Amino acid sequence: MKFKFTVLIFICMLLLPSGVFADQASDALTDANNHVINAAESAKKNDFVLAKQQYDQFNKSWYVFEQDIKSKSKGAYRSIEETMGEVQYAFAKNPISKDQVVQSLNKLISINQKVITGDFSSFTEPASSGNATIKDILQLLDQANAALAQNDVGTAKAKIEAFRNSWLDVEGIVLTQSSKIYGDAERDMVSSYALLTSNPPQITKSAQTLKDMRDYLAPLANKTGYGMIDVITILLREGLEALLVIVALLGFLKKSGHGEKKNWIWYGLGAGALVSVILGVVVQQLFAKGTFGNNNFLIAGCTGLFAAVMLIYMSYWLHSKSSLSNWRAYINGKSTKALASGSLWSLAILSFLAVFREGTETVLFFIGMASSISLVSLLSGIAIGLLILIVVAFLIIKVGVKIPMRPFFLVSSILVFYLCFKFLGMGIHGLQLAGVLKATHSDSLPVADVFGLYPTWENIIPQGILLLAAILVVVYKRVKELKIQQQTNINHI
Amino acid sequence: MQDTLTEMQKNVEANDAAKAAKNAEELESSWEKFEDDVKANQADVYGKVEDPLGAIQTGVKETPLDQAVLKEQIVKLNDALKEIK
Repeated sequence: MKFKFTVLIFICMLLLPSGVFADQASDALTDANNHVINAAESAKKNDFVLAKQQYDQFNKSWYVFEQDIKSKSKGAYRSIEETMGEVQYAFAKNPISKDQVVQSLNKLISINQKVITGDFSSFTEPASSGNATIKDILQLLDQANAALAQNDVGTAKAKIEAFRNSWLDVEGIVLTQSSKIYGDAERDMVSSYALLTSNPPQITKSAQTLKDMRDYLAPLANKTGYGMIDVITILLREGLEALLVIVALLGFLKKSGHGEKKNWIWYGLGAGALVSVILGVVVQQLFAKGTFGNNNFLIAGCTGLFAAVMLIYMSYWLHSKSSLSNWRAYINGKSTKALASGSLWSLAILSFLAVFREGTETVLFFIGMASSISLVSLLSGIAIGLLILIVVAFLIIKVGVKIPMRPFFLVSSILVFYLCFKFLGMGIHGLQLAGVLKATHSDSLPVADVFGLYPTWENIIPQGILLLAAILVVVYKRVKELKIQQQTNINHI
Repeated sequence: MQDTLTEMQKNVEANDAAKAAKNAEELESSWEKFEDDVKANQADVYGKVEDPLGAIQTGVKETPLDQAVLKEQIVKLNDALKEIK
Protein backbone atom coordinates (compact mmCIF):
# COMPACT_ATOMS: atom_id res chain seq x y z
CA MET A 1 0.00 0.00 0.00
CA LYS A 2 2.73 2.39 1.05
CA PHE A 3 4.76 1.46 -2.00
CA LYS A 4 1.87 2.18 -4.31
CA PHE A 5 1.41 5.52 -2.64
CA THR A 6 5.03 6.54 -3.11
CA VAL A 7 4.90 5.46 -6.74
CA LEU A 8 1.88 7.68 -7.17
CA ILE A 9 3.60 10.68 -5.63
CA PHE A 10 6.59 10.04 -7.86
CA ILE A 11 4.42 9.95 -10.96
CA CYS A 12 2.75 13.16 -9.86
CA MET A 13 6.09 14.87 -9.54
CA LEU A 14 7.05 13.76 -13.02
CA LEU A 15 3.81 15.08 -14.37
CA LEU A 16 4.34 18.53 -12.94
CA PRO A 17 6.75 20.09 -15.39
CA SER A 18 9.49 21.64 -13.35
CA GLY A 19 9.84 24.81 -15.33
CA VAL A 20 6.18 25.58 -14.87
CA PHE A 21 6.50 28.19 -12.21
CA ALA A 22 9.73 29.71 -13.51
CA ASP A 23 8.90 33.13 -14.83
CA GLN A 24 10.80 34.06 -17.95
CA ALA A 25 9.27 37.48 -18.35
CA SER A 26 10.29 38.53 -14.84
CA ASP A 27 13.84 37.31 -15.44
CA ALA A 28 14.05 39.28 -18.67
CA LEU A 29 12.74 42.36 -16.92
CA THR A 30 15.23 41.95 -14.07
CA ASP A 31 18.12 41.91 -16.54
CA ALA A 32 16.73 44.83 -18.48
CA ASN A 33 16.09 46.81 -15.30
CA ASN A 34 19.78 46.63 -14.46
CA HIS A 35 20.45 48.83 -17.49
CA VAL A 36 18.04 51.41 -16.12
CA ILE A 37 19.76 51.29 -12.75
CA ASN A 38 23.10 51.87 -14.45
CA ALA A 39 21.63 54.73 -16.43
CA ALA A 40 20.35 56.37 -13.25
CA GLU A 41 23.83 56.10 -11.71
CA SER A 42 25.44 57.69 -14.75
CA ALA A 43 22.85 60.45 -14.80
CA LYS A 44 23.52 61.23 -11.16
CA LYS A 45 27.17 61.68 -12.11
CA ASN A 46 26.06 64.09 -14.88
CA ASP A 47 27.13 61.70 -17.64
CA PHE A 48 23.98 61.94 -19.71
CA VAL A 49 25.48 60.52 -22.88
CA LEU A 50 26.39 57.30 -21.12
CA ALA A 51 23.07 57.31 -19.30
CA LYS A 52 21.16 57.50 -22.58
CA GLN A 53 23.23 54.67 -24.03
CA GLN A 54 22.51 52.48 -21.03
CA TYR A 55 18.84 53.35 -21.12
CA ASP A 56 18.72 52.47 -24.81
CA GLN A 57 19.84 48.96 -23.91
CA PHE A 58 16.80 48.63 -21.70
CA ASN A 59 14.68 50.05 -24.51
CA LYS A 60 15.92 47.51 -27.05
CA SER A 61 15.37 44.49 -24.84
CA TRP A 62 11.95 45.77 -23.74
CA TYR A 63 10.55 45.19 -27.22
CA VAL A 64 11.54 41.55 -27.00
CA PHE A 65 9.50 40.68 -23.91
CA GLU A 66 6.93 43.49 -23.70
CA GLN A 67 4.13 41.20 -24.88
CA ASP A 68 4.70 38.83 -21.96
CA ILE A 69 4.44 41.70 -19.50
CA LYS A 70 1.38 42.99 -21.30
CA SER A 71 -0.38 39.67 -20.97
CA LYS A 72 0.45 39.57 -17.28
CA SER A 73 -1.01 42.97 -16.59
CA LYS A 74 -2.17 45.59 -19.03
CA GLY A 75 -2.02 48.18 -16.26
CA ALA A 76 1.63 47.47 -15.50
CA TYR A 77 2.43 47.47 -19.21
CA ARG A 78 0.83 50.87 -19.66
CA SER A 79 2.67 52.28 -16.66
CA ILE A 80 6.01 51.10 -17.94
CA GLU A 81 5.43 52.44 -21.45
CA GLU A 82 4.25 55.75 -20.05
CA THR A 83 7.32 56.09 -17.88
CA MET A 84 9.54 55.13 -20.79
CA GLY A 85 8.00 58.08 -22.62
CA GLU A 86 8.88 60.30 -19.68
CA VAL A 87 12.48 59.12 -19.82
CA GLN A 88 12.68 59.75 -23.57
CA TYR A 89 11.23 63.20 -23.06
CA ALA A 90 13.64 64.01 -20.25
CA PHE A 91 16.60 63.05 -22.42
CA ALA A 92 15.24 65.09 -25.33
CA LYS A 93 15.13 68.27 -23.30
CA ASN A 94 17.56 71.01 -24.21
CA PRO A 95 19.12 71.88 -21.83
CA ILE A 96 18.82 68.57 -20.03
CA SER A 97 17.44 68.76 -16.54
CA LYS A 98 19.36 66.34 -14.33
CA ASP A 99 16.52 66.11 -11.87
CA GLN A 100 14.00 65.26 -14.55
CA VAL A 101 16.19 62.52 -16.02
CA VAL A 102 17.04 60.96 -12.67
CA GLN A 103 13.47 61.20 -11.45
CA SER A 104 11.99 59.50 -14.51
CA LEU A 105 14.63 56.77 -14.44
CA ASN A 106 14.00 56.12 -10.75
CA LYS A 107 10.28 55.96 -11.41
CA LEU A 108 10.88 53.34 -14.09
CA ILE A 109 13.15 51.34 -11.79
CA SER A 110 10.54 51.24 -9.06
CA ILE A 111 7.75 50.18 -11.44
CA ASN A 112 9.95 47.46 -12.91
CA GLN A 113 10.79 46.15 -9.46
CA LYS A 114 7.13 45.93 -8.56
CA VAL A 115 6.41 43.92 -11.69
CA ILE A 116 9.41 41.68 -11.07
CA THR A 117 8.17 40.77 -7.61
CA GLY A 118 4.68 40.19 -8.98
CA ASP A 119 3.12 43.09 -7.13
CA PHE A 120 0.46 44.35 -9.51
CA SER A 121 -1.69 45.97 -6.86
CA SER A 122 -0.81 49.57 -7.67
CA PHE A 123 -1.61 49.32 -11.37
CA THR A 124 -5.05 50.20 -12.61
CA GLU A 125 -6.42 48.59 -15.68
CA PRO A 126 -6.70 51.09 -18.52
CA ALA A 127 -10.25 52.40 -18.59
CA SER A 128 -10.73 52.10 -22.31
CA SER A 129 -9.89 48.43 -22.65
CA GLY A 130 -12.08 47.08 -19.85
CA ASN A 131 -13.35 43.61 -20.55
CA ALA A 132 -12.84 42.08 -23.93
CA THR A 133 -16.12 41.42 -25.65
CA ILE A 134 -16.95 38.77 -28.18
CA LYS A 135 -16.74 41.46 -30.83
CA ASP A 136 -13.13 42.12 -29.79
CA ILE A 137 -12.08 38.51 -30.02
CA LEU A 138 -13.89 38.09 -33.34
CA GLN A 139 -11.74 40.95 -34.55
CA LEU A 140 -8.65 39.09 -33.39
CA LEU A 141 -9.75 36.05 -35.41
CA ASP A 142 -10.23 38.25 -38.47
CA GLN A 143 -6.79 39.77 -38.00
CA ALA A 144 -5.26 36.34 -37.62
CA ASN A 145 -6.93 35.19 -40.82
CA ALA A 146 -5.83 38.32 -42.66
CA ALA A 147 -2.27 37.63 -41.57
CA LEU A 148 -2.51 34.02 -42.76
CA ALA A 149 -3.79 35.23 -46.12
CA GLN A 150 -0.41 36.90 -46.50
CA ASN A 151 1.40 33.84 -45.16
CA ASP A 152 2.33 35.82 -42.06
CA VAL A 153 2.44 32.98 -39.56
CA GLY A 154 4.12 35.06 -36.86
CA THR A 155 1.39 37.68 -36.64
CA ALA A 156 -1.33 35.05 -36.84
CA LYS A 157 0.16 33.20 -33.89
CA ALA A 158 0.35 36.44 -31.93
CA LYS A 159 -3.32 37.12 -32.64
CA ILE A 160 -4.34 33.64 -31.52
CA GLU A 161 -2.24 34.15 -28.40
CA ALA A 162 -4.11 37.41 -27.76
CA PHE A 163 -7.37 35.56 -28.31
CA ARG A 164 -6.40 33.02 -25.67
CA ASN A 165 -5.53 35.78 -23.21
CA SER A 166 -8.89 37.45 -23.75
CA TRP A 167 -10.80 34.21 -23.55
CA LEU A 168 -11.37 34.48 -19.81
CA ASP A 169 -13.32 37.68 -20.28
CA VAL A 170 -15.82 36.12 -22.64
CA GLU A 171 -15.99 32.48 -21.68
CA GLY A 172 -18.93 33.07 -19.36
CA ILE A 173 -20.97 34.58 -22.16
CA VAL A 174 -20.10 31.69 -24.44
CA LEU A 175 -20.61 28.93 -21.90
CA THR A 176 -24.04 30.05 -20.81
CA GLN A 177 -25.30 30.09 -24.36
CA SER A 178 -23.84 26.87 -25.60
CA SER A 179 -21.59 24.43 -23.85
CA LYS A 180 -20.89 22.77 -27.18
CA ILE A 181 -19.55 25.96 -28.70
CA TYR A 182 -17.60 26.57 -25.52
CA GLY A 183 -15.96 23.17 -25.84
CA ASP A 184 -15.34 23.66 -29.55
CA ALA A 185 -13.73 27.04 -29.02
CA GLU A 186 -11.44 25.78 -26.25
CA ARG A 187 -10.35 22.95 -28.48
CA ASP A 188 -9.93 25.07 -31.61
CA MET A 189 -7.94 27.72 -29.76
CA VAL A 190 -5.29 25.11 -29.18
CA SER A 191 -5.43 23.38 -32.55
CA SER A 192 -5.38 26.52 -34.67
CA TYR A 193 -2.18 27.50 -32.86
CA ALA A 194 -0.72 24.00 -32.98
CA LEU A 195 -1.30 23.79 -36.73
CA LEU A 196 0.88 26.85 -37.13
CA THR A 197 3.70 25.49 -34.98
CA SER A 198 3.98 22.28 -36.97
CA ASN A 199 6.67 21.94 -39.55
CA PRO A 200 5.76 23.16 -42.14
CA PRO A 201 2.99 25.33 -40.71
CA GLN A 202 -0.43 24.16 -41.88
CA ILE A 203 -1.76 27.51 -42.95
CA THR A 204 -4.87 26.49 -44.89
CA LYS A 205 -6.11 24.19 -42.14
CA SER A 206 -5.48 26.76 -39.45
CA ALA A 207 -7.22 29.43 -41.49
CA GLN A 208 -10.20 27.13 -41.89
CA THR A 209 -10.32 26.46 -38.15
CA LEU A 210 -10.19 30.19 -37.46
CA LYS A 211 -12.96 30.79 -39.93
CA ASP A 212 -15.09 28.10 -38.30
CA MET A 213 -14.47 29.66 -34.91
CA ARG A 214 -15.58 33.00 -36.21
CA ASP A 215 -18.72 31.49 -37.67
CA TYR A 216 -19.87 29.70 -34.57
CA LEU A 217 -18.85 32.44 -32.13
CA ALA A 218 -20.38 35.36 -34.04
CA PRO A 219 -24.02 34.61 -33.16
CA LEU A 220 -23.14 34.66 -29.48
CA ALA A 221 -22.00 38.27 -29.60
CA ASN A 222 -25.44 39.62 -28.88
CA LYS A 223 -25.77 38.38 -25.35
CA THR A 224 -24.62 40.94 -22.84
CA GLY A 225 -26.49 40.13 -19.69
CA TYR A 226 -27.11 37.05 -17.59
CA GLY A 227 -30.12 35.55 -15.91
CA MET A 228 -30.81 33.02 -13.20
CA ILE A 229 -30.96 30.21 -15.73
CA ASP A 230 -27.37 30.92 -16.76
CA VAL A 231 -26.20 30.67 -13.18
CA ILE A 232 -27.96 27.33 -12.75
CA THR A 233 -26.61 26.04 -16.05
CA ILE A 234 -23.05 26.84 -15.12
CA LEU A 235 -23.38 25.39 -11.65
CA LEU A 236 -24.90 22.16 -12.93
CA ARG A 237 -22.42 21.78 -15.74
CA GLU A 238 -19.37 22.34 -13.57
CA GLY A 239 -20.83 20.60 -10.58
CA LEU A 240 -21.77 17.37 -12.35
CA GLU A 241 -18.26 16.04 -12.63
CA ALA A 242 -17.38 16.87 -9.06
CA LEU A 243 -20.67 15.23 -8.12
CA LEU A 244 -19.79 11.98 -9.86
CA VAL A 245 -16.53 11.68 -7.98
CA ILE A 246 -18.08 12.50 -4.61
CA VAL A 247 -20.95 10.09 -5.16
CA ALA A 248 -18.61 7.31 -6.23
CA LEU A 249 -16.56 7.86 -3.10
CA LEU A 250 -19.57 7.97 -0.79
CA GLY A 251 -21.12 4.91 -2.36
CA PHE A 252 -17.89 3.02 -2.05
CA LEU A 253 -17.55 3.86 1.64
CA LYS A 254 -21.10 2.86 2.39
CA LYS A 255 -20.87 -0.38 0.47
CA SER A 256 -17.63 -1.41 2.06
CA GLY A 257 -19.21 -1.00 5.44
CA HIS A 258 -17.25 2.08 6.34
CA GLY A 259 -20.15 4.47 5.97
CA GLU A 260 -19.27 6.22 9.20
CA LYS A 261 -16.01 7.37 7.65
CA LYS A 262 -17.89 9.52 5.15
CA ASN A 263 -16.97 12.62 7.14
CA TRP A 264 -13.58 12.45 5.48
CA ILE A 265 -15.26 13.04 2.17
CA TRP A 266 -17.39 15.86 3.51
CA TYR A 267 -14.29 17.56 4.89
CA GLY A 268 -12.57 17.21 1.53
CA LEU A 269 -15.62 18.61 -0.22
CA GLY A 270 -16.02 21.45 2.24
CA ALA A 271 -12.34 22.34 2.05
CA GLY A 272 -12.51 22.29 -1.75
CA ALA A 273 -15.52 24.60 -1.79
CA LEU A 274 -14.04 26.96 0.78
CA VAL A 275 -10.66 27.20 -0.95
CA SER A 276 -12.39 27.77 -4.29
CA VAL A 277 -14.36 30.69 -2.94
CA ILE A 278 -11.35 32.19 -1.16
CA LEU A 279 -9.07 31.73 -4.15
CA GLY A 280 -11.65 33.18 -6.50
CA VAL A 281 -12.11 36.27 -4.38
CA VAL A 282 -8.36 36.69 -3.87
CA VAL A 283 -7.74 36.41 -7.58
CA GLN A 284 -10.42 38.93 -8.36
CA GLN A 285 -9.20 41.44 -5.81
CA LEU A 286 -5.47 41.28 -6.41
CA PHE A 287 -4.86 40.37 -9.98
CA ALA A 288 -5.83 41.85 -13.28
CA LYS A 289 -7.89 39.34 -15.21
CA GLY A 290 -5.17 39.08 -17.79
CA THR A 291 -2.64 38.06 -15.18
CA PHE A 292 -4.70 35.09 -14.19
CA GLY A 293 -5.50 34.07 -17.72
CA ASN A 294 -2.89 31.42 -18.30
CA ASN A 295 -2.69 30.51 -14.62
CA ASN A 296 -6.30 29.41 -14.65
CA PHE A 297 -5.54 26.95 -17.41
CA LEU A 298 -2.44 25.95 -15.51
CA ILE A 299 -4.42 25.18 -12.36
CA ALA A 300 -6.99 23.26 -14.37
CA GLY A 301 -4.18 21.38 -16.06
CA CYS A 302 -2.26 20.41 -12.94
CA THR A 303 -5.21 19.47 -10.77
CA GLY A 304 -6.67 17.53 -13.68
CA LEU A 305 -3.55 15.44 -14.03
CA PHE A 306 -3.13 14.97 -10.31
CA ALA A 307 -6.74 13.92 -9.95
CA ALA A 308 -6.31 11.53 -12.89
CA VAL A 309 -3.42 9.82 -11.14
CA MET A 310 -5.34 9.42 -7.91
CA LEU A 311 -8.31 8.13 -9.83
CA ILE A 312 -6.16 5.47 -11.46
CA TYR A 313 -5.39 4.18 -8.03
CA MET A 314 -9.01 4.37 -6.93
CA SER A 315 -10.23 2.63 -10.04
CA TYR A 316 -7.73 -0.16 -9.54
CA TRP A 317 -8.77 -0.55 -5.93
CA LEU A 318 -12.46 -0.67 -6.76
CA HIS A 319 -11.91 -3.15 -9.52
CA SER A 320 -9.89 -5.43 -7.32
CA LYS A 321 -12.70 -5.37 -4.82
CA SER A 322 -14.99 -6.81 -7.49
CA SER A 323 -12.87 -9.83 -8.22
CA LEU A 324 -14.16 -13.13 -6.99
CA SER A 325 -11.24 -14.24 -4.87
CA ASN A 326 -11.00 -10.93 -3.10
CA TRP A 327 -14.70 -11.02 -2.59
CA ARG A 328 -14.52 -14.42 -0.96
CA ALA A 329 -11.83 -13.24 1.39
CA TYR A 330 -13.99 -10.28 2.16
CA ILE A 331 -17.00 -12.37 3.03
CA ASN A 332 -14.92 -14.66 5.15
CA GLY A 333 -14.63 -11.76 7.49
CA LYS A 334 -10.96 -11.22 6.83
CA SER A 335 -11.19 -7.65 5.87
CA THR A 336 -13.40 -5.58 7.97
CA LYS A 337 -10.17 -4.18 9.25
CA ALA A 338 -10.35 -0.43 9.33
CA LEU A 339 -9.48 1.32 6.15
CA ALA A 340 -5.88 2.38 6.45
CA SER A 341 -5.74 6.06 7.24
CA GLY A 342 -3.69 6.41 4.07
CA SER A 343 -6.71 5.59 1.96
CA LEU A 344 -8.94 7.83 4.05
CA TRP A 345 -6.63 10.73 3.31
CA SER A 346 -6.66 9.83 -0.37
CA LEU A 347 -10.44 9.93 -0.30
CA ALA A 348 -10.45 13.32 1.35
CA ILE A 349 -7.84 14.69 -1.06
CA LEU A 350 -9.73 13.29 -4.01
CA SER A 351 -13.00 14.94 -3.01
CA PHE A 352 -11.07 18.15 -2.33
CA LEU A 353 -9.51 18.10 -5.80
CA ALA A 354 -12.76 17.26 -7.55
CA VAL A 355 -14.54 20.18 -5.92
CA PHE A 356 -11.58 22.56 -6.11
CA ARG A 357 -11.10 22.02 -9.82
CA GLU A 358 -14.62 22.86 -10.80
CA GLY A 359 -15.03 25.23 -7.86
CA THR A 360 -12.41 27.82 -8.78
CA GLU A 361 -13.68 28.02 -12.34
CA THR A 362 -17.27 28.38 -11.19
CA VAL A 363 -16.44 31.05 -8.63
CA LEU A 364 -14.50 33.06 -11.19
CA PHE A 365 -17.36 32.76 -13.65
CA PHE A 366 -19.81 34.07 -11.11
CA ILE A 367 -17.59 36.95 -10.08
CA GLY A 368 -17.15 37.84 -13.73
CA MET A 369 -20.89 37.68 -14.24
CA ALA A 370 -21.71 39.65 -11.11
CA SER A 371 -21.63 42.98 -12.86
CA SER A 372 -24.06 41.86 -15.57
CA ILE A 373 -26.68 40.19 -13.41
CA SER A 374 -28.90 41.20 -10.55
CA LEU A 375 -27.77 39.97 -7.15
CA VAL A 376 -31.12 38.30 -6.55
CA SER A 377 -30.87 36.28 -9.75
CA LEU A 378 -27.30 35.29 -8.97
CA LEU A 379 -27.99 34.11 -5.43
CA SER A 380 -31.23 32.32 -6.22
CA GLY A 381 -29.56 30.71 -9.21
CA ILE A 382 -26.75 29.40 -7.00
CA ALA A 383 -29.22 28.19 -4.38
CA ILE A 384 -31.41 26.35 -6.89
CA GLY A 385 -28.40 24.90 -8.69
CA LEU A 386 -26.95 23.55 -5.45
CA LEU A 387 -30.31 22.14 -4.48
CA ILE A 388 -30.62 20.25 -7.76
CA LEU A 389 -27.11 18.88 -7.36
CA ILE A 390 -27.88 17.64 -3.84
CA VAL A 391 -31.12 15.98 -4.93
CA VAL A 392 -29.39 14.25 -7.84
CA ALA A 393 -26.57 13.10 -5.59
CA PHE A 394 -29.03 11.74 -3.07
CA LEU A 395 -30.92 9.81 -5.73
CA ILE A 396 -27.76 8.31 -7.15
CA ILE A 397 -26.58 7.17 -3.75
CA LYS A 398 -29.97 5.72 -2.86
CA VAL A 399 -30.19 3.79 -6.09
CA GLY A 400 -26.56 2.79 -5.90
CA VAL A 401 -26.97 1.22 -2.47
CA LYS A 402 -29.62 -1.18 -3.74
CA ILE A 403 -27.30 -2.69 -6.30
CA PRO A 404 -25.50 -5.82 -5.14
CA MET A 405 -21.90 -5.41 -4.09
CA ARG A 406 -19.86 -6.88 -6.87
CA PRO A 407 -21.57 -5.20 -9.79
CA PHE A 408 -21.55 -1.99 -7.80
CA PHE A 409 -17.81 -2.08 -7.36
CA LEU A 410 -17.37 -3.05 -10.97
CA VAL A 411 -19.57 -0.24 -12.25
CA SER A 412 -17.99 2.34 -10.00
CA SER A 413 -14.54 1.27 -11.06
CA ILE A 414 -15.56 1.79 -14.69
CA LEU A 415 -17.09 5.13 -13.82
CA VAL A 416 -14.03 6.25 -11.95
CA PHE A 417 -11.82 5.04 -14.79
CA TYR A 418 -13.91 7.09 -17.23
CA LEU A 419 -13.41 10.16 -15.06
CA CYS A 420 -9.72 9.42 -14.82
CA PHE A 421 -9.47 9.12 -18.60
CA LYS A 422 -11.37 12.34 -19.05
CA PHE A 423 -9.42 14.26 -16.38
CA LEU A 424 -6.18 13.14 -17.99
CA GLY A 425 -7.34 14.53 -21.32
CA MET A 426 -8.62 17.73 -19.79
CA GLY A 427 -5.52 18.16 -17.65
CA ILE A 428 -3.25 17.93 -20.67
CA HIS A 429 -5.55 20.24 -22.61
CA GLY A 430 -5.41 22.75 -19.76
CA LEU A 431 -1.63 22.72 -19.84
CA GLN A 432 -1.71 23.21 -23.61
CA LEU A 433 -4.03 26.17 -23.18
CA ALA A 434 -1.63 27.60 -20.61
CA GLY A 435 1.08 27.33 -23.23
CA VAL A 436 3.12 25.06 -21.00
CA LEU A 437 2.72 21.94 -23.09
CA LYS A 438 3.09 21.68 -26.82
CA ALA A 439 0.13 20.75 -28.97
CA THR A 440 0.76 18.60 -32.03
CA HIS A 441 -2.44 18.54 -33.96
CA SER A 442 -3.64 15.72 -36.14
CA ASP A 443 -6.85 15.41 -38.12
CA SER A 444 -6.91 11.66 -37.87
CA LEU A 445 -7.37 11.83 -34.10
CA PRO A 446 -10.88 11.63 -32.65
CA VAL A 447 -12.50 14.54 -30.91
CA ALA A 448 -14.97 13.96 -28.11
CA ASP A 449 -15.45 16.47 -25.36
CA VAL A 450 -17.35 13.97 -23.25
CA PHE A 451 -14.34 11.67 -22.99
CA GLY A 452 -11.82 14.46 -22.79
CA LEU A 453 -10.55 13.48 -26.22
CA TYR A 454 -8.72 16.24 -28.06
CA PRO A 455 -7.06 15.89 -31.44
CA THR A 456 -3.45 16.23 -30.35
CA TRP A 457 -0.82 13.56 -29.93
CA GLU A 458 0.11 14.83 -26.49
CA ASN A 459 -3.42 13.87 -25.46
CA ILE A 460 -3.95 10.62 -27.29
CA ILE A 461 -0.68 8.94 -26.38
CA PRO A 462 -1.00 9.17 -22.58
CA GLN A 463 -4.69 8.30 -22.79
CA GLY A 464 -3.93 5.39 -25.08
CA ILE A 465 -1.28 4.13 -22.68
CA LEU A 466 -3.75 4.44 -19.82
CA LEU A 467 -6.42 2.53 -21.68
CA LEU A 468 -4.00 -0.18 -22.72
CA ALA A 469 -2.62 -0.53 -19.21
CA ALA A 470 -6.13 -0.80 -17.80
CA ILE A 471 -7.10 -3.49 -20.31
CA LEU A 472 -3.93 -5.44 -19.58
CA VAL A 473 -4.52 -5.27 -15.83
CA VAL A 474 -8.11 -6.40 -16.19
CA VAL A 475 -7.18 -9.29 -18.46
CA TYR A 476 -4.32 -10.32 -16.22
CA LYS A 477 -6.51 -10.36 -13.15
CA ARG A 478 -9.23 -12.26 -14.92
CA VAL A 479 -6.76 -14.93 -15.95
CA LYS A 480 -5.37 -15.10 -12.43
CA GLU A 481 -8.88 -15.36 -11.06
CA LEU A 482 -9.76 -18.20 -13.36
CA LYS A 483 -6.64 -20.04 -12.28
CA ILE A 484 -7.49 -19.58 -8.62
CA GLN A 485 -11.03 -20.69 -9.31
CA GLN A 486 -9.78 -23.84 -10.94
CA GLN A 487 -7.52 -24.53 -8.02
CA THR A 488 -10.25 -23.93 -5.46
CA ASN A 489 -12.58 -26.23 -7.38
CA ILE A 490 -9.93 -28.90 -7.43
CA ASN A 491 -9.37 -28.53 -3.71
CA HIS A 492 -13.03 -28.87 -2.97
CA ILE A 493 -13.48 -32.07 -4.80
CA MET B 1 -1.29 59.20 -38.38
CA GLN B 2 0.68 61.59 -40.50
CA ASP B 3 -2.36 63.85 -40.85
CA THR B 4 -2.69 63.95 -37.09
CA LEU B 5 0.97 64.87 -36.85
CA THR B 6 0.56 67.79 -39.24
CA GLU B 7 -2.34 69.01 -37.17
CA MET B 8 -0.33 68.55 -34.01
CA GLN B 9 2.56 70.54 -35.42
CA LYS B 10 0.22 73.50 -35.92
CA ASN B 11 -1.27 73.16 -32.46
CA VAL B 12 2.14 73.05 -30.80
CA GLU B 13 3.27 76.10 -32.68
CA ALA B 14 0.10 77.86 -31.56
CA ASN B 15 0.82 76.71 -28.02
CA ASP B 16 -2.58 75.02 -27.80
CA ALA B 17 -1.93 72.37 -25.14
CA ALA B 18 -5.46 71.01 -25.05
CA LYS B 19 -5.63 70.31 -28.77
CA ALA B 20 -2.10 68.93 -28.78
CA ALA B 21 -3.11 66.51 -26.04
CA LYS B 22 -6.07 65.34 -28.13
CA ASN B 23 -3.76 64.79 -31.08
CA ALA B 24 -1.45 62.73 -28.89
CA GLU B 25 -4.37 60.49 -27.90
CA GLU B 26 -5.33 60.02 -31.53
CA LEU B 27 -1.78 59.10 -32.41
CA GLU B 28 -1.71 56.50 -29.66
CA SER B 29 -4.96 54.82 -30.67
CA SER B 30 -4.06 54.81 -34.37
CA TRP B 31 -0.69 53.26 -33.57
CA GLU B 32 -2.28 50.51 -31.49
CA LYS B 33 -4.10 49.24 -34.56
CA PHE B 34 -1.07 48.37 -36.59
CA GLU B 35 1.87 48.37 -34.20
CA ASP B 36 1.92 44.57 -34.03
CA ASP B 37 2.30 44.30 -37.78
CA VAL B 38 5.13 46.82 -37.84
CA LYS B 39 6.85 45.05 -34.96
CA ALA B 40 6.64 41.73 -36.77
CA ASN B 41 7.75 42.98 -40.17
CA GLN B 42 9.94 46.01 -39.49
CA ALA B 43 11.33 45.62 -36.02
CA ASP B 44 13.82 48.48 -36.43
CA VAL B 45 11.13 50.94 -37.48
CA TYR B 46 8.98 49.87 -34.52
CA GLY B 47 11.49 51.30 -32.06
CA LYS B 48 11.88 54.46 -34.14
CA VAL B 49 8.16 55.09 -33.80
CA GLU B 50 7.76 54.12 -30.15
CA ASP B 51 10.54 56.38 -28.84
CA PRO B 52 9.29 59.75 -30.10
CA LEU B 53 5.68 58.68 -29.57
CA GLY B 54 6.40 58.07 -25.89
CA ALA B 55 8.18 61.39 -25.55
CA ILE B 56 5.26 63.18 -27.20
CA GLN B 57 2.77 61.59 -24.79
CA THR B 58 4.78 63.04 -21.91
CA GLY B 59 5.43 66.36 -23.60
CA VAL B 60 1.79 67.29 -24.12
CA LYS B 61 1.18 67.00 -20.39
CA GLU B 62 3.81 69.59 -19.50
CA THR B 63 2.59 73.16 -19.19
CA PRO B 64 3.75 75.35 -20.71
CA LEU B 65 4.49 73.19 -23.74
CA ASP B 66 8.16 72.78 -24.53
CA GLN B 67 7.68 73.63 -28.19
CA ALA B 68 11.25 72.89 -29.19
CA VAL B 69 11.29 69.36 -27.86
CA LEU B 70 7.81 68.57 -29.13
CA LYS B 71 8.55 69.77 -32.63
CA GLU B 72 11.75 67.77 -32.69
CA GLN B 73 9.90 64.60 -31.63
CA ILE B 74 7.14 65.23 -34.16
CA VAL B 75 9.71 65.38 -36.92
CA LYS B 76 11.35 62.19 -35.67
CA LEU B 77 8.01 60.40 -35.57
CA ASN B 78 7.08 61.61 -39.02
CA ASP B 79 10.36 60.34 -40.45
CA ALA B 80 9.82 56.95 -38.83
CA LEU B 81 6.25 56.72 -40.14
CA LYS B 82 7.49 57.41 -43.65
CA GLU B 83 9.55 54.25 -43.45
CA ILE B 84 6.54 52.05 -42.82
CA LYS B 85 5.50 50.01 -45.82
